[in-house]
Formats: sequence, structure tokens, C-alpha cells
Amino acid sequence: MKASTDYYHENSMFHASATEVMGTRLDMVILGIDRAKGDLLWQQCRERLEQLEAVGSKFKADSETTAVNRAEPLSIVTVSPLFGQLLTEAIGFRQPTRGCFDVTLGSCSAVEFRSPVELVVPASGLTIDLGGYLKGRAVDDMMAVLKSGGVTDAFIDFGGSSIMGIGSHPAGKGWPVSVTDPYSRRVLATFSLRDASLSTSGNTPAYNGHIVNPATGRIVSGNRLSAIVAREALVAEVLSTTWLVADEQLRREILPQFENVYNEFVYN
Amino acid sequence: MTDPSRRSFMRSLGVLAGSAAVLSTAPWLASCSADKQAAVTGERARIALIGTGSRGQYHLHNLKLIPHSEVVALCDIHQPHLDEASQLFPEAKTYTDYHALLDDPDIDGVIIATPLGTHARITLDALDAGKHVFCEKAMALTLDECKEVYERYKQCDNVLYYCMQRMYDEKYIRGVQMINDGLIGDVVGMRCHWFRNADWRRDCPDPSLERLINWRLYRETSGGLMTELASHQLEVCSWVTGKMPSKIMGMGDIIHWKHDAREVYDTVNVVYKYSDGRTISYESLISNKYNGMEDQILGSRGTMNLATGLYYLEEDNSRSGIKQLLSSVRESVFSAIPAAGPSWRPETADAYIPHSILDGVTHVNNGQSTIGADHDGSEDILASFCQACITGERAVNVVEEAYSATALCLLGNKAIEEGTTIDFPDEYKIPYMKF
Ligand SMILES: NC(=O)c1ccc[n+]([C@@H]2O[C@H](COP(=O)([O-])OP(=O)(O)OC[C@H]3O[C@@H](n4cnc5c(N)ncnc54)[C@H](O)[C@@H]3O)[C@@H](O)[C@H]2O)c1
Repeated sequence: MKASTDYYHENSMFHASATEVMGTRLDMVILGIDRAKGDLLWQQCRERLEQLEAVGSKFKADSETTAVNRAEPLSIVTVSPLFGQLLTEAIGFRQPTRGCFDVTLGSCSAVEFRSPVELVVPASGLTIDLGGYLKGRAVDDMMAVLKSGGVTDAFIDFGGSSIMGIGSHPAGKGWPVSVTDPYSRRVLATFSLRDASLSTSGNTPAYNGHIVNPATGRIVSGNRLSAIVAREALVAEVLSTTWLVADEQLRREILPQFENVYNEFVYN
Repeated sequence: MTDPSRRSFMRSLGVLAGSAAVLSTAPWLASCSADKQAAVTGERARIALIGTGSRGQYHLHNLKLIPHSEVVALCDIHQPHLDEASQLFPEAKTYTDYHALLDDPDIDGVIIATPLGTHARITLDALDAGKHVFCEKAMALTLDECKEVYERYKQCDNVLYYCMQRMYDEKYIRGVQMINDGLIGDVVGMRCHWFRNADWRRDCPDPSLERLINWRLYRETSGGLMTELASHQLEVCSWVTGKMPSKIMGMGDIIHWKHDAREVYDTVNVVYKYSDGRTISYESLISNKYNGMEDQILGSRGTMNLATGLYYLEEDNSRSGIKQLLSSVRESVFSAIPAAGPSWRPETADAYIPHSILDGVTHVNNGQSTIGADHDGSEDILASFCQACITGERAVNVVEEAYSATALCLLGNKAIEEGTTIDFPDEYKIPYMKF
């Protein structure tokens, strides 16, 4: 992670910016605090991000996810408590999303823990990809850091696709953001985020073929975009991925399983 | 089967092969689909290795991790290398004459990791012996040899692979896919280079072994920088454009490592020109490593640097949304920030922003090793070959790509020697090539 910070005295505005974090960039804007406090909170956020990356990155050769993905079928792998916690939480979304959100990419039917830190690898082996989960978890965790630091107004943008508005922009209520069609650049919708999170998911001209339907193992292709506004970034994140995979009927069935979803749409 | 990391080979390729768009970008992945991978579970290809030097041993380490393979025979004319390999696979039979190895009916496929000068002969003999063949790059030392191997391949049914591992490297596949999707606009040119600062020599215990150990330095066994390094990069250029250059010019010399008896250039600059005017600018030098190794595809709207796994946009809007937000706070303006997606309003780009082709992938091959790098596709292409030894399924276009790339390398050397611009000779064109 490469990071830098700025401070704007006249607005009491702190801005932290990072690249190479979970494969993307992160911006955090906090209002109404002094520089030292901003640095402190940002430091805490960074530590959390680093912990999450060490556990969850499927690309880092030394991450726990990599180790688990390489483990022999039926072996028992010792994992950190954090890994166990994250995996359990991530897998927990499989049922309410009717299998549409599956961090195991359909590679197993159940993950069994012999103890909180001992994972039993199923006979089929495991392929875990926490990619669609981790950013949402990270945004919620950063929000918790900010809230516990007494922050009332802030804006977090993780990779342009996971966004959280806490409190309000100084000139209005909430934080207004718009979603645009990456192909036509037309504005598709505008949302006001006030203690709410927006997650968008979909193919862009630049990045295609990263979403896999776990049921079929096939890549979701074409110009399809989903947007979810929810109180929790993680819920928004999970549902925006789910919305790309699930059809209309299934989406109606899944929606009531989640609380505090304020807005949702999918655009073809 | 002790190292469990074998399990991850080809998995991501299996997922990629599920996409029709990816298959049109990289048709050779058709044999890597998850279904086809699953179909060989429990079976084992009986593999032999000819040439147990450094690259051969690198393959042996990877074979240990490929569950559908079994190393049954090893061959080398240099006993110390054969002994080293034998320690890795003590059960495998050993040979010092590859002809004897090819007579063994209990071998399905052979890997050829010998010096370039021997590739064609051993490949032809192995195909004639009914074996499936995985040969190291480049294809062969001369264009005539390449043509002979290509024609034999066309006549037989055996599987033939060339180790052009970029074709199986996920970041290359996705990167080329992004180019085909229009991310960087029209491809207007290519710049590839490979820089090292090392003499390319290996320790030689006895002068009588010099030409065997340091085969890379002599023309009867090696095409030098063009065949050893440029071959991979020129393959990428023909993959990306789907076309072949029609004119070649170049310069090269021995400028730094001149105090030994080497015969191959230690610096080359070759320009390839397509019929539509675009060029590939190729450069390699082994007495300065500042520029490293890069495969840059230049587009009217951006640059894809496949080797580093990063791309850059000419007009990059990705940062300016937050800039807009910061100024809206400072100016007390309340208006919607275009937050999601790559839709931020453009501002003057102060610098190019690197974007990763693959989320989170930071390991890149810096090109400094003469043996190979981890996770550069070599493991996957080898695993794919082992699977093909079981199924008999050929990998679409792999031989054609290797032929095309090797022809460009050899013609680069020829252009340097002749000091003139040469046309791609008609007699070496194959139907796959479009000019
Ligand atoms: N794909 C890649 O990225 C990559 C990387 C490195 C090397 N290579 C290729 O691998 C091949 C081998 O390179 P290397 O660095 O391992 O060379 P090396 O000199 O370390 O090994 C070559 C071996 O072949 C043996 N040999 C020579 N003639 C033989 C014969 N007639 N029968 C049996 N064995 C014979 C030699 O004794 C030696 O052990 C070359 O074609 C090279 O271009 C490819």
C-alpha cells in the first residue's frame, strides 16, 4: 500500500489517499477534525486494511487464503481466528443469496471447522475468493474506526465501486453521488448517502469477466451493472454482486433476507 | 505429492476458459476448461524429459506438483545434470542417448529442454516415435527447420506444445482481452525490451565442455538474444495484433562482453513493420538493466504494459471524482459527485496512474532470471500439456504462434546480419499468418 495525506485548514478537512490496496485505490475524506486526529484515525484504518489483506488476498503468495486454497483435500489447516471469522461470515451469505454470492465459487458444499482455528478441507478441495467480500468488510470496519473516533461527517471511496457517506457534506444533507454507465457515460441514477453505503458492480470496458456465476462456473459478460444502497457496506457489496447473477424473480426472493437496503437496481 | 501448491495450477485458467470472449482471445485455452481438467482426474501422463539442465530441472520441480503426471524417464548427455535430475525423480529411468529413450513404448510425452540447435531434430524424432512433445522455445534454430517441424506436425496427430508461457499467463490473457475490448483504443504500436546486466555465461568446469554448457553464446546452437528473449515478446505482438509484420530491419553487435569467444550479439535493436504502417520496436541489451523487461502495447487511448501487469490511460478520469468532491467542500457547492465506475469527469492528467490488470496481483517477472519465474504461465502450460498427453487434444494455435514468433526472431537476426530491410520471405509464410 502506498499512501499520502492532505489537510485543508480552512475546511478542517482531512484527506487520505492510498493505492495498491486490495488491488485498487482508496480515498477517505473526514470533516471537522484536526490533522493529528486525522492521522491517528487513518493509521488505525491502515492497520485494519493490512490485517484484512494478509488474510484475504488470493494473490499474495503468503496470504492465508492462498495457503488454504493450496491445501490437500481432507487435510486440516490451522488458520488465524480472523481468517475463521471472515470466512464464516462470508460463507454465511451463501444461504440468504440462494447461492448467488459464494466465496467458494461453488467449489464445496460446506466448510467445516474442527475448532475456531482449524479448518477441514473438503474432499473437493477449496477455492476461496474473498474479493467480492473484503472491500465491503473493510469499508464497514473503517467506518467503525471513524465513528469510535467521534467523526460525524466523512466520505470513503474504495475503488470507485464501494462508497460510504457518513453524515453530510458541509453544504447539504448526505453525500450525493451518481452512478454512470461506463459504456455510454450517461448518468443512470443519483443517490444521497447519509450513513449509507453504495456498491456498484458490473463489467466495464476496462474490466470484464471478473464476476463468476457460482452455480454455472461461467463468467457474467456483457454490459450489465448493478447498484445497491444499504446501511452496511458489506450488505451493499454482497447484493451488488448477487444482483448481477440473479434474475428478477430470485432478486425479489433474496431482498427480504436483508435489512436496511434502501435502494437497488440492475441495468442491462 | 507432498507439496500441496500443485492444486492451484490451471484453476484460474479453467475459470477463464468458461468465457466465450476469453476463448476468442486465447483459443488454446479451450482444452483447459474445468470440465476437461476434471475428466483426467486419477489418470497420469507418463512423461520423459530430454535435457536435464536448468530449465529441465525447473520443469521437474513443477511436474512434482502436477497430479496428472508421472516422470518415467530422464535423458542428458552431461552426466552431472542427469544425476541432479535423477535425485529429484530416483524412480525414473535414465538415458544418455535420447533415441533409446524414444524407443520406450511406455512413454506418452516428452519434454525437450535442450539447447536450441537440437530442438528440431529431437522434436522430429520424437513425433516420429509417436510421442507427444513439449519443446522449449524457440521452435528451432533455422527457418528451414521450423518449416520442417511445422509440416510434420500438420501431417501427424500428435500433440505439440512450445513453451511460450505468456499464452497461459493470466495477466497476459486478461490484458489482451482488455485490449480486444477496446480499453486502450486502437493499437498503434508496440515497444518491447529486455535488459539485463550479466554476461550470460555459466561456469564451465572444463574447456572441452564450453560449447555444451555455454551453448547460448554460439551461433551453431543459439540465436542469442533474439531467440532466447525476444521470442516470448514477439509472440505477444502477433497475439495482440493477429497479424504479422512484413518488413524487418535491425542493428546489433557485441559491445560489452567482447573478451570471450562469444558469437552472439549482446545488444540488438530490431524494428518490425506491418503492412498497415504500425511497428514493433524491439530492444535488448545485457550490459545495463535499468529498463528491465517490458511488453508495451501502445494504444490511441492507453498503454498496456503486459509484463508488469499494469495499464495506463491517456486521459485518466479515475482520480478526479475525489478531486471534485474536495473542491465542492472547499467551494461549498452541493452537487452530485459521479462516484461509481470509471466515469469521473476528466481533469488535466498530471501523471499516468497505474491500474492493475489483475486485482491485487503484484508479483511480476523482472526478467532477470535465465531459468524462469514463478507463476509466469510455465506451470500451467506444462500442466496443460500433461493433460493433452492423456486426452490427445491439441492446443489450438500454440504451434502456429511459436512458428510465427520464431520466424520473427530469426528474421531479426538475418536483418541485422545483412544490414538491410528485408521482406518476410514467402517461402516461410504459413496459412495462419495474416500480413
Ligand atoms: N520458456 C522459458 O522461459 C525458458 C527459460 C529458460 C530456458 N528456456 C529454454 O530451455 C532450453 C534449455 O535451456 P537451459 O537454460 O536449461 O540450458 P542448459 O544448458 O542448462 O540445459 C540444457 C541441457 O541439455 C543437455 N543436452 C544438450 N544436448 C543434448 C542431447 N542431444 N541430448 C540430451 N541432452 C542434451 C545439456 O547437457 C544440458 O544439460 C533452451 O531451449 C532454452 O531456450 C526457456
